[in-house]
Amino acid sequence: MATALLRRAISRVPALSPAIFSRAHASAAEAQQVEPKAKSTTTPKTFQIYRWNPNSPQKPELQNYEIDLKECGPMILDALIKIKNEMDPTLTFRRSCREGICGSCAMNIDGRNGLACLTKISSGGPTMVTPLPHMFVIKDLVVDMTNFYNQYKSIEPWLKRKSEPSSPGKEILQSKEDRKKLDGMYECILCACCSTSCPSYWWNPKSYLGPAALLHANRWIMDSRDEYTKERLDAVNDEFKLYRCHTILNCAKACPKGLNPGMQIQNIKKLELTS
Amino acid sequence: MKKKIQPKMNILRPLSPHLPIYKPQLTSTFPISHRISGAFLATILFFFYLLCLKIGLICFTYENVCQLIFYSSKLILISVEITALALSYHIYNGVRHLLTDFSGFGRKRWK
Repeated sequence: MATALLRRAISRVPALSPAIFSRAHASAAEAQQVEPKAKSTTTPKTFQIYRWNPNSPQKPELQNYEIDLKECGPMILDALIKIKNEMDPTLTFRRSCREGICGSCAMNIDGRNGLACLTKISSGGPTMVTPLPHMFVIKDLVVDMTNFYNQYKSIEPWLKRKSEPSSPGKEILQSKEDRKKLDGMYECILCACCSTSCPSYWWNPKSYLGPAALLHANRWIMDSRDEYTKERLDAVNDEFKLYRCHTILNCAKACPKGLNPGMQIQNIKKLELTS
Repeated sequence: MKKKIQPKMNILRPLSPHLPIYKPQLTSTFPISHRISGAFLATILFFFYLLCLKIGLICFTYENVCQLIFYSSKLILISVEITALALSYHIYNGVRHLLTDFSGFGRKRWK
């Protein structure tokens, strides 16, 4: 029931866009659009990209851009850079490594969160590119991540010890089994795809820590070298910080690195039961 | 919901679209329909409580009460079938949820 309503809402958005959403840079985009249609061997692809300029009083809107897939790389980031270089230099987005390790280009592509540099352009109908859901937009596809980073800082993501290390001045040793416990958590690149895909995080962004911060909380709880385990568990053991998670598991679906924050949160909840 | 950034710019930032654009997935539709079916069943149970339990379960021996419930449920088109669907979905999803939540207890991942 809910699925059908949402699907109809999604299909309605592109249909309404030509009628209601106006084009800000109509002349430049239209002039560019004449060229691809004149050629015969082009594969045109339309992108509907969320635009909002803080300096102009207009409301946010979806702007259409048409590019030729034959002259573009396979990933969404390639298309965005091509649009910025050739068609509209005012398009604003974050990007850095272009290989899926920095997490800067996290955005919502066709309704799913992911990294633009790792998401292939799908052939066929128009692709909708919007910023990460339920975040304050600074400009176009750039969102305000301060709340997200503050939540990461609040779980104190560093090694804390009470006692001296066994050999002072040298590394604190860890067995291979203990190191294996950190697999699936240390690979997190803090792209915020998971937290911004969680409906529980949408409705309580300030009080619920979100899957990313909780995954890192579990990473430090499970680290055998860290000696503040009980304090870390007590810090998260809050009605809102941890237990807003209802195992919706949208986070595991959205993670571009294939991690499962939902499983890590369940691990924290299990540890809370016994401690 | 908007947020002020600097007094001199005086621009309120918009919130990026969430519910209207996010693609509904299996992981997200299961919990929300569990909640909706649960709320639906809770209201039915609540009215059942108000109606029947306050009067006393003896009322079901009275023929007109059974007729009243039967015909008033027929006022809404397929209400009995929808209630049955909600109940069965809620139970199946609840059992699935419990199984997936407690599936990790056998492994040695605890600290």
